[in-house]
Amino acid sequence: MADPESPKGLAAPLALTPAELLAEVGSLGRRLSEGAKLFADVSDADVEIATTPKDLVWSQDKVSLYRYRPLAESKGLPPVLIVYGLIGRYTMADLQEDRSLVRNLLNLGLDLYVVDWGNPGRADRYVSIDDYVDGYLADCVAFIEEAAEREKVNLLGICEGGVFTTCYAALYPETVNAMVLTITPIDFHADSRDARAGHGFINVWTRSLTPEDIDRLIDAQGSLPGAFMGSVFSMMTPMRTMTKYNLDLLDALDDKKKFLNFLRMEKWIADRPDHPGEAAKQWLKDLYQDNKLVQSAFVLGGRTVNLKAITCPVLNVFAQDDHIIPPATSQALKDKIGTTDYTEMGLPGGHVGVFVGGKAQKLLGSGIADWLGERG
Amino acid sequence: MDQFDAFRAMGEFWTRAGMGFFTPGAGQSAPGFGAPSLPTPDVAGLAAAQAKLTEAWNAATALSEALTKSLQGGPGAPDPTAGAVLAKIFDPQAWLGGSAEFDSALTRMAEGPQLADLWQTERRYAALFTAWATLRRAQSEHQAVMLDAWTQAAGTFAQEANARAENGERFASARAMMSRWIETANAVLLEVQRSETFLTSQRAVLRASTDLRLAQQDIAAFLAEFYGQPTRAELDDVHKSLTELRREVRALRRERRQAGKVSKAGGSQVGENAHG
Repeated sequence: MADPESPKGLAAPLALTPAELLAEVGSLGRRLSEGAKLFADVSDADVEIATTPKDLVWSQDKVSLYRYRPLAESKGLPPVLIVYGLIGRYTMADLQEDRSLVRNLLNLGLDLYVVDWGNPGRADRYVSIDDYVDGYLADCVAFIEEAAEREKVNLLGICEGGVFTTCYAALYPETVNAMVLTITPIDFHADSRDARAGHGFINVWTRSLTPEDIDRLIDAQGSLPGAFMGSVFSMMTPMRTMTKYNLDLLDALDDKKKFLNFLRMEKWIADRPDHPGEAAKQWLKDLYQDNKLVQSAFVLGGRTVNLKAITCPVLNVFAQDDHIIPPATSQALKDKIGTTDYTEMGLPGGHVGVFVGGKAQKLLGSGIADWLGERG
Repeated sequence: MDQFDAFRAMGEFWTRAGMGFFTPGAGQSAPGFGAPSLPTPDVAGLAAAQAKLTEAWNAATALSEALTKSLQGGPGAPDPTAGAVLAKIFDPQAWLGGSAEFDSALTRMAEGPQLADLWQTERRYAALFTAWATLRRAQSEHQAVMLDAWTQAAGTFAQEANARAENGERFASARAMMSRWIETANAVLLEVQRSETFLTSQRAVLRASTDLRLAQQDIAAFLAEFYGQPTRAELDDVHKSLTELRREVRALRRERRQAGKVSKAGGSQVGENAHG
């Protein structure tokens, strides 16, 4: 423990007179007052997210499949199904009009579908990743094939959703034209090979638990509560978590657009569904702890997910500064699949920045559309 | 009374209240339960954890006060407003708040309904109390780890600020100084969070909160059964059956879809042949 007396002899390190300091505090007060006014003026409509028009075309249990309305002339490519995971929601891909992967892809003439897993509750305790991949996702693909009169679709997996599409492409390779993965973990232990400060904490944290800890947690809760995972995410950026609603928010108050962006992001963060119990056990034990996916040892629906069975072209997009899914955990896919048509795209920014960062999200949309266009 | 006085007072209250239950004849047994054999909760462990936390808190508070006092310009230039702002920035309580987000998520998860007639179930209540005391002890131990981390970060920052002052370098604004503190503290926290000490104490909190939740559910199940209500386990059975039935329905639908495809393909072939 440090000596509490250590700063005793500290000279004043601040180049401010007391009057200047007081002025700074006064300025802070003014900004807070302006911020209060901004808050009062904001309506729900101002911070609405996922506003790109779409229609419900299929549903089963709590799962819904939507088709986006076109925004440009079709390129005639196979439809693209966007698959997000259970940690967070697909709305990240359509956060707001000027920061929307969905809109960027629609503007480039793609036919887009998205699956929403809904809000799993206590009654979904026994729903597993088998159900999501072998059940709901397979049914979504079947619906799209029939609706589009195509034998194959394109898959676009995001984060845990990328794991789902990877498993699906290995189990049903005959139905996948091409697969785009974004910020998707494949080798859940690769964080230890590229141990950057603050990166891969979820990997470290999950490995610090025993399988019995996870079983008991799920026994007690019936699910992996979204709020609980949110608190684990918060630990990954500890000081940011402490300063978010004071310093960061204060910075955003100068600019209404920035302020509304901040609120929209907070709205997305707050919408964190619970992970069904059995699916959570597979996610944390089979994948994070035992790393079965990269070893082609993960079993779904009685069948082993063999990565070599993935024969469609693969575009693997990762964020160069992703502290949640470190790049090495995504890039591990390269030599594991059964195709040589494999492309990597490393984009600037972090996990979410790929979708909402000014530069990255533009590169992402055009990069995906061009790559798919070449494999139509 | 600071928060640790409150902790101690609460601990004493629970000890006194808990001892009451261990007195022969205390409370009333539920029908058919006979004389309960009650476990002894680890109150001594809780007290030791609280003592360690108090020690860490005192050290951190002393350092925080010294830092704040020094950074506002020394005794010659006191400024109560700036002092108050700085005190807030260097408040070690914020670090407990940071870790408390995780703790409070666990607490919310562990909190069940208030059951007014818990007194009928001494054995379960004792187990619940033990689980509660274990959780509080684990939380105290984890908070002591966080306070040690704060003290380490504050010490590092103070050394750097001293070195700057000696070299005649100064922070241009309070915000610049704050940014440096955040940077320093973040680096320390990230390192601490990966340490075995942190991960072990946090795992203990997770385990303890899970055990508390399970102890609460045990009481709820006992009462539900006693009053003829469905238990969580019975509902889980129903949900398991429902999930399995849904799987079967999905599989049947898929078979029907495949059969339809085959028959459609066969039918069109017949048609083509007929027209050929």
